[in-house]
Amino acid sequence: MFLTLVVKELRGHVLNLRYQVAVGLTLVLVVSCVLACARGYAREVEAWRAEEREFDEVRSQDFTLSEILDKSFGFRRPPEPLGVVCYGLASAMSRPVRLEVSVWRGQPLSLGSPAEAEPVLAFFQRPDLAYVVAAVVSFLALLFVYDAVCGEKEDGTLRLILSSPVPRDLVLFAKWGAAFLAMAAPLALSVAVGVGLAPLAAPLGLGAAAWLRVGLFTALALLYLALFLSAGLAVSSLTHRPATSLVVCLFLWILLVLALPALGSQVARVLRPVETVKHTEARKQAKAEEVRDRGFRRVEGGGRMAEWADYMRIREEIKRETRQIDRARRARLLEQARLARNLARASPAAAFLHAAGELSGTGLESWTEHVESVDRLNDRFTGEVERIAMDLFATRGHEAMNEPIQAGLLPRLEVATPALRQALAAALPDAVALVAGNALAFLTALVAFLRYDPR
Amino acid sequence: MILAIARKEFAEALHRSRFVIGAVATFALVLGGVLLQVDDFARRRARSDENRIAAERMREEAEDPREAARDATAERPLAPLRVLVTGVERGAPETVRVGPGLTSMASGAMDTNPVLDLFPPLDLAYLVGVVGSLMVFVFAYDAVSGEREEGTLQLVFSYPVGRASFLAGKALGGMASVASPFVAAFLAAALVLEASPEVPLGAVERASLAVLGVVCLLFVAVCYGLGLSVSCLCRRSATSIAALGGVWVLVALVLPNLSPFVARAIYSAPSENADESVAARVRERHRAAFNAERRERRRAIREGTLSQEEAIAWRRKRHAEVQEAMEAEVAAATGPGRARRRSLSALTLNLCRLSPVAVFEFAVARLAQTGLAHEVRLQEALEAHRRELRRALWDDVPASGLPRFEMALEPFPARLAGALPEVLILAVEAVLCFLVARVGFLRMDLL
Repeated sequence: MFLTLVVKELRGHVLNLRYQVAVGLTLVLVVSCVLACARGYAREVEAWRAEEREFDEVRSQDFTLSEILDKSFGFRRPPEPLGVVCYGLASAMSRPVRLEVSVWRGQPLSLGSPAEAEPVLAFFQRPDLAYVVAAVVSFLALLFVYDAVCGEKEDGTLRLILSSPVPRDLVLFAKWGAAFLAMAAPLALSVAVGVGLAPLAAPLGLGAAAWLRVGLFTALALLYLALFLSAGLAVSSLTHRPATSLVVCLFLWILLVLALPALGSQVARVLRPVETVKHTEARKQAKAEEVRDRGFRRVEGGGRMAEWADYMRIREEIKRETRQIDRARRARLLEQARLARNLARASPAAAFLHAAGELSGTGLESWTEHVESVDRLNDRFTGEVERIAMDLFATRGHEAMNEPIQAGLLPRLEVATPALRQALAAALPDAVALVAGNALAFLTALVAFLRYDPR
Repeated sequence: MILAIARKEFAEALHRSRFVIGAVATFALVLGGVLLQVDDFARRRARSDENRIAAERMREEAEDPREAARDATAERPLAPLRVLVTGVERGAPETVRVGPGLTSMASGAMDTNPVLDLFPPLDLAYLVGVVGSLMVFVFAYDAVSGEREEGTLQLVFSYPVGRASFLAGKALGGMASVASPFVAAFLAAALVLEASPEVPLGAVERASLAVLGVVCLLFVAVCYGLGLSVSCLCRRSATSIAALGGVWVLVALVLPNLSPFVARAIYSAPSENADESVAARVRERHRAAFNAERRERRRAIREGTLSQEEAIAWRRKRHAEVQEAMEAEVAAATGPGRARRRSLSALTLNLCRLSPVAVFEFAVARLAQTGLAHEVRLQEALEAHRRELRRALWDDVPASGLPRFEMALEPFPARLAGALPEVLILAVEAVLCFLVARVGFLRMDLL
């Protein structure tokens, strides 16, 4: 019985012009967007290679200690091939990092703009796969089901169906199942075709693990699609005229997809402000001054002095204290980002995009890892230079500054990408939010449909 | 007659539930968005002022002008109307490092939160351009096809009413009803701007704001015209809403976003980084040659064949020459690349202009001074400022006398002239849409 209903619904969909347009649009959009983003990735790789060559040229030379102390060393994370699926925070992560070693502070600096920034994309969002699913597919899904119940009522066919011995819940399940099948199959197909064709536009070099991530992304996209189908069904069973249902659906979509995600970040900015860099710098300087005041002995004429051992101790303390201030600020920043993310979970589109980012290695978790790896590099790099310097001073004395050092042996940026397990753990709350939203919407649809007056 | 129809249409629209929901939603979103953006603006302004004071203090304290120049920063001019149109600046830091050797640089370390810029901000430009266009389509899709389905159209034409005047009345009334929530929301936003002391509004900004409102209305007219013409061309309102939905997806969600990629696929340009490294190599060569010459002079001074004063005079003169030759060569080496990049970006913009939403966003960004033209102007001004800094260093200017970066926003006529092509495109599109609606309606089968 259930199958008969599903087949009937499916047949109705497939023969509908609206469905054919939706499928065509999905296929064309998904494939062309994936290809476009793959080209974008190829250009990014090219730019990254060129810059990496330059950085390498600097790093492969020998420098004297004094030269190293006023040089800056550049590092840059290679672009993420799965950025084609979800670009997410990739632009923030692709900024080059420059390290400067100075005696009193060692601060990673983030320089310049991300590679190949498209100015127009500051106006409009990057059309990656996740964007197409989040915005376009959800829109099509609602357009697809808004009249599933109330339309049949208007046509009079609903009375006909319900007059035969079919339980109502079965009818609704069949409607949902058929709509899901009808939309999911072309979506999954076009994702597969798009990502499969991407190597034509650029060598993405996706391995089995990456394909697994693409598969998980597709599953997530289907979950997201299911949510919008349920929501559309719910609206359709709550209203009695397709025109009303359509309007409600569109406003719901505007709210969930366009308004709420942006609102989340802006509210987070207000609720959890992070102090400006200038403030942090000022606090760090004040702290350093305080430590120096405590440690050094004042001498006549306004100068300060200390024994060598004291001097080293003071330096260590200042380093520790300032680093602590930096870390506290970073933690606050992360807290703000997490709040923004949690607020955005009210919108399925934002939850989906965040989860997709985690799966593609361009999400909040990856960004955190990247920032931490830059921190680690900074520690290791300055630590290594200091160690070499101390050794040289011990053995060569004042000649040390002119001793050559192989910069190639100094530490490099390690590309930290969360493992699949971590990515899954990070994406899980979003997936749960999507499932919960789905269940809620479907239950609403069910209750409304059971009480529906088909006359 | 036309007026009577318009009045009827207007009154009818006001009673529709979708109109009420849409109007309330528009008003609430615009107002909420403006309030949040005002807050953001105040923060930016505070940060910018703070950084300016800190930079000033740094100059006073610096002993070596070289050191001061290396840490020199410049403040982006803060356009007050960015509260309504964030434009391309979105998450860009307000402070830019301009020290010699650095191209452009975020003010500090990794200190901005990228998560906050993951989604477009809810400013007026987005709310009218993307959200508003969809709402207008929802208001307009059944203006004619709905009446035809209900049979009221036949009833109307049983009276002595001309088709053309009926459509004119309908368009007038419909346009008035569709525009009213936007007008109300815009006025509320303008009032908020006037009332908030953090956002300084001068005469130029007020004039731009007024024109911005007109452009919003024009854009709403384009959308309404499009909706009306589709409604006249389709026999059933279900078809017309599906068609409009498809058009909207393309125009608002896809076309502008894809255009940079499409433009690159059909036209190629060398990347800025590639040119940058070519320029760096040229500069390195000139610098090395100049340093070799300097070493020679130094030796001459040591040997006593050259006096100190002569050497300084030579250094000044020669450096200026070298600088000029170097910049000329850099310009020659990177010129073609820059020209190609410029054509590429023009192509991208023109592809974007296929979408009225993009045309609208460009126009309002130009008026608000947050658009691409402003960004280009800013980058050029920064480049000029860097050159000035280098020259000042060479002239041994003390740290406190180093040039400061100031950039004024464009005067009103320039903004208007810049936005004019976009406004004209919108006007032509609006007229075209209404013409299509008219032709479609005149040929329409009432049965």
